[in-house]
Amino acid sequence: MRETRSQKTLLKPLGSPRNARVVEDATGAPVAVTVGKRGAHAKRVMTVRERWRIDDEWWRHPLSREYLAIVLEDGRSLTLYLDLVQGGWWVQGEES
Amino acid sequence: MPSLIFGLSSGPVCFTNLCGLLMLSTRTRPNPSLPPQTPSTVPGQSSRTALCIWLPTFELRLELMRFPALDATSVALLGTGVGTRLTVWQVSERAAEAGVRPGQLVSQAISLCPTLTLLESDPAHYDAAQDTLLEVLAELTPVVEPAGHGRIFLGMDGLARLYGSPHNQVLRVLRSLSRVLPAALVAATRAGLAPGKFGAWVAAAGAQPGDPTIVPEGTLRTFLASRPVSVLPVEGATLDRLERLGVRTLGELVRFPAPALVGQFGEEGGRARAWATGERIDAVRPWYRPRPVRVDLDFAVPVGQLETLNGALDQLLERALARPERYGRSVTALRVIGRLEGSGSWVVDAVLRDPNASKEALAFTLRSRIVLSPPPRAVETLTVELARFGPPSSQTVLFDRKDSAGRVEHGRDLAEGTVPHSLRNAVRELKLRLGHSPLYRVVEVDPLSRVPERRHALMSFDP
Repeated sequence: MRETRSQKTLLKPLGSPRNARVVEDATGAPVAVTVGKRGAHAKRVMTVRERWRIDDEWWRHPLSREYLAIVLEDGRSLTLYLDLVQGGWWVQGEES
Repeated sequence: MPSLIFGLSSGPVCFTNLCGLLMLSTRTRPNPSLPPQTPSTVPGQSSRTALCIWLPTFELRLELMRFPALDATSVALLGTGVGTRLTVWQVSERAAEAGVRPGQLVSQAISLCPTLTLLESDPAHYDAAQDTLLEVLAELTPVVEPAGHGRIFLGMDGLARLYGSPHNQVLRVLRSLSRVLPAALVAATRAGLAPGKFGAWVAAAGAQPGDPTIVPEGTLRTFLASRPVSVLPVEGATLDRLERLGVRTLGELVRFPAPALVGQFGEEGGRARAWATGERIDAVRPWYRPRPVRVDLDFAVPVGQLETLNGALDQLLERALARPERYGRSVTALRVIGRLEGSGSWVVDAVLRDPNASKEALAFTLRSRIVLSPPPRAVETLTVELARFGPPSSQTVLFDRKDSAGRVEHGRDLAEGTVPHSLRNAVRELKLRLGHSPLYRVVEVDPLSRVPERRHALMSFDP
């Protein structure tokens, strides 16, 4: 069984996005973010350090993301993005 | 930016291209083949009530401030685009009367108006003037959003107690411009106050200089009804179709139900109706501008050779990257500014596909741009500005450090791809204990992909 696992685990994407629960204000801007297991506490967004947008693969499966590098109230820095095609917020980078 | 080219006074103003810029402030350049971007989502104080301040042909007016003797003559400002064929960017009233139009080749313009005075553009001067305007306006309201040279949106929510009625608020803003602009330019400034940026821009574009248009809350739909559909920030093809269908004003557009417009024009039809009815309000958002890291170098003798400029560029990049305020941050956009011999400036902007903090990578990008758009004359002062920053760059540096990675064995460097003996033993012990190797190697999959999770992957490491 273990050998099988070893053989199957060949490639794992690095930096896969994780689902985030985000509370937005009336303009759609994130004001609080919850990352991790159920029951985790929401943390307020203190500032946005940087933001950028990527649009790609419009010829195949359109991909459009609005990225935000934010700082939470506990000092953690997160890179969030809003999926502009499918909807939903995702976390794709975290520093303590 | 040819879409911002207008005559000083003659001819109708084309709203379409300018309104296209209402979708502001994303790092990627708008692609006309893509749908308009959704409003940016930045936390912070935004303002529903918008004041649009617009000074048409801002750059040409700045030049006429520097050369007042040209004010009553035929003047044209040359474009800054890449290429060998010089084109006219902005024209004065007299030049327009002679038939000179923005976008014309210089040869055509001169044949139409032999007395035409041509001025080279000075982008650094225009940027500095715009920054000064922004600084002055930021003293009145914290919500200031630039939308190109000479056009600025101000958030006016909550200012009634400070400045009084909306009319007084607008006058206060215009008066503050007098601190940095001559009276003639302030008098030529157009202003429009309305709910949302779209309404404010339409109001400003239709206003007479010195006579601001104020659209009270609740009357936006009525105000917009008589405006032409060309004010909508939608694709040109959509506007053409609307006009072919006989829909000339926004009032005529809103007579159609939303499903019919969406059926004809897709999402854009729905958006157009939302703007036309005043249902969609784009709030003014505070402008976020990271403080750039700027270093410059004065040449004892003006330099025209690219090789010398490239050498100076390397030095400047090294100094800029070593500045403490840059530490731990990668660069996503940078700019080279050259103060030209005599007068004028030359600017090259570069936006990186991926954030980077390597001097070589940044220099390569800048050199590639400079080859395409070399300085027109010798450069007296060269400045490098790290304009925007990305995520921290420390991890990349860590992975690049081979000296501390145990890749020396018996005093010799191991060949690329060779696994050190100590690591091989460690993996063997872990396999005995766990049944499989828990170690992974980071491999490049598509390192230049814009999608972060497609760049690298973990591969089982089992030597």
